[in-house]
Formats: sequence, structure tokens, C-alpha cells
Amino acid sequence: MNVFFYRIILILFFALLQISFFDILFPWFRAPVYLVLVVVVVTLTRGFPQALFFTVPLTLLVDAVTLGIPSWFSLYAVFLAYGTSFLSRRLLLTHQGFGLLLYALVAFGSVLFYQAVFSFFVYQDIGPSLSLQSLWPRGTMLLLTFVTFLPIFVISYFGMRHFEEYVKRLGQEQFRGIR
Amino acid sequence: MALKQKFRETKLFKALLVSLFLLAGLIFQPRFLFEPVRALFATIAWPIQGMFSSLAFSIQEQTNFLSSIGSLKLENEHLSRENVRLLAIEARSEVITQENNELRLELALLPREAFDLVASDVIGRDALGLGNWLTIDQGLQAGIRPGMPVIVYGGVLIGRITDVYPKSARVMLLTNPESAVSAVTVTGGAQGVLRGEYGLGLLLDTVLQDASLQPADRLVTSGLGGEFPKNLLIGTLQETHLSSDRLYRQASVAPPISFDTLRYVFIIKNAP
Repeated sequence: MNVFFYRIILILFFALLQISFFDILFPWFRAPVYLVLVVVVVTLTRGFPQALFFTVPLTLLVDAVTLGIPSWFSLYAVFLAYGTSFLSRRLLLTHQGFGLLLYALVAFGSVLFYQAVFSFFVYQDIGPSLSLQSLWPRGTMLLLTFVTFLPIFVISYFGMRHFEEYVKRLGQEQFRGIR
Repeated sequence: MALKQKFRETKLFKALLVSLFLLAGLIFQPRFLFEPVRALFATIAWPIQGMFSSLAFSIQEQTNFLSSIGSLKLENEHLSRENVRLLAIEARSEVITQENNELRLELALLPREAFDLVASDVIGRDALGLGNWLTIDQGLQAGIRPGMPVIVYGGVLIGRITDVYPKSARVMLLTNPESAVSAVTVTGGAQGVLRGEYGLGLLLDTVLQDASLQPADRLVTSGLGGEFPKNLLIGTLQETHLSSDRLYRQASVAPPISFDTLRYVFIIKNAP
């Protein structure tokens, strides 16, 4: 029960971070930057499909708070988790050093891909009244976001890993009836 | 049979199964399930949202300062020229205001009402990046109600209140595709409907073909429909063109402020 409660708190925490912190810090992005990062980190730490038990409630919570209905991002997050798991099995990289940097690049690339798909559909709908500048952030903004993204990814990854180890230990102790 | 069983055990199958479930949610849009979650979240999360948003705005101010160092000199020169121009306009406005007040007195017209404003901090944004709404830290307890207009800097319209919770509220921005505001140009008097473009821009639509639409003309609320007070500034016309069906004229509108960087807003409580 404690483990479930801790996971719920963590989901709420990540949702709040995206809505009230990172979305204010990176307003030029049309993609939820931190949510994409969390989906990749959770998949790396928990594996697929266990990651879905965390990421699907998280994305649905953000959808509930923002739109009030499920969004295309929730669907995208499922395939992002699957893609991360697929890559991690194929590349067999360790989750440290260069391997971690590569996964961070995959996460940032996923943000840009979502932005590109969003821009494509919006441009199709609205047409020539929009300039390309309004659809895509400037080079300096992209660079600034990427430079900020890397340490946040690393901190989130190690934080999530320690959290998983803690709840695993907690689960085992509860099972054994020590607490 | 063995192959089917094997596919059912694969990760791809599990991903597709979850995707089907989410797709069903996308198609049927069960708002009745999500609305209580949204109300509960808004009720309990607003103090933490306030803390996070304050921290984010502080960091943003520091990074904006660092990134703008190169352009400060140019911006300073531009602002100095703009300041001189505005001083001249203000002087002319004072004369006109004085004349207007005297005429109103002579004609026994009621005085213009001052707005009853409630100041509020922005504590959340549209996380999915559509730029369509803000969360503010004033709600039912501060007398906020759905439909109230929201402005910044004394008279620039940015949106209206849609959902209200005990201590917070949601503001639907003008850039929301569901937003529709009756507007009129200051110089030409062309009437139209202002619509949002997925958080990316504003479009003045359904303007008659013989109406005068001049780039750089200012756009204000017309007051028609009674939703918004008259003469709240919306923005400046940019390029004009015909609609896709060639029946009306349209113009893209540039707001005077960036919706992405709003931190403080004001709600008009006594709007007509």
C-alpha cells in the first residue's frame, strides 16, 4: 500500500513540475519537454511494459488537468516508451556515461519530433497565415533547452533509479512483515 | 495457435493494446471521468503550483537577462524613440479626454465606469504546449466567476475565465481555437471576429470585403455581445488576405505582449 501511495505522489509531483515549472521555463516548445524526459527515464529504470503503469496514469492526469480529455500525447508516450525499450535492448548500452548521453539525445529528439508533427498538423489546418518562426523555436532557444535538458535528464534518471530501489526494498520488507 | 500466443506475450502487443484503449478515449472523449480529476487537482495543488511557478519565473528572468545582453542597446534605442512618440500621443489624448469629459457633462451622460480589477499570479500553463490557457491563483473565494474578462497592463485583453475552483481559475487565452471575440479596427472601423490559432497567433475573420483593413491598424474589442467591455486593446493588424472560400477578408493580428511570458494578470469583475 505504501509503495502505491509513493508512486501516486511521484506522479503528482511530475505532473506539477511539467504544468507549473517546466512549461513556464520553456514556453517556446509545443511539446511537454519534461513529460517526454520522464517517459524515457521511467522506461529505462522500470522496463517495458512495467513503465506503462507509471507513464499512462501520468499522461492521463496531465490530459485531465489541461484538456479535460485524453490527448494524442498519451498515445505518443506509449510508443515512445516502447521505442525506448526497443532501442535499449538493441543497443545494449549501459545506463551511464556515453550510454546515458545517448538516451538523453533520444529523449530530446522525441521532443523535437513531437514538435515537428504538431507543427505539421497545425500548419495544414491554419495554413499560410502562420510564419515558420511561430511554429518552431529559434536556434538559440533550442540550444538553451538542450543544454538545460541534459543535466535534468541525468538527475531525473538517478533520482528515479534510487526511488525504484527504495520502493523495491520497501515492498520486500512489507512482504516479509518486518514493518 | 502457438504463434498467436507468442505474439500476445510480446511487448508490441501490450503497447498496441494500451494504445487501443487510449484511442477509444480520444474518440469517445469521456469528459465526465476527467472533470472531477481536474477539479480535485486544481483544489489541492494550487499552493504547490504557486511555489513552482514563482521559482520558474525567477529562473526565467535571470536567463532572459543573460540572453538579452546582446540586444539591450538596440532595444534601448527603439524604446527611447517609442517613448517620445507615446509622450506626444499622451499629450493629445489628455486634450481629447478633457474635451470628452466636458461634452459628457453637457449632454448629461453617465461617467465611464472604472474597472473593478482583481490582480492574480499565473501558476500554471498548458502543459501540452498548445498555449491555450493559464491557471491563476484567484478563484471563487476572490469573487471570480466564469466569463470574466482577463487583461494585462491596464487594458490589453488576453482572454476570459472559463473554469473556476475555490482558490484558482483557468483563463482561456485569445489564442485558443475555441475563443471568439467580436472586434473592430480603430482607424478603419472594420468589424470582425477574432479567433485563436492553436496558441500560435490570432486571426481576425469574417470581415466584409468592402471593409477597410490596413496593416498596422490597431484592433480593439467592439463590445458587441456584451461579453467584453468596449475598447480593450487586442493587437495590431499584420498582413491581410481573403478567406479560403473568398467570401470574407482576414488579417493576422500581432498582440502587443507575448502570451508565453505572462506572469501577472487582472480580472475585470464588473464587466458588462
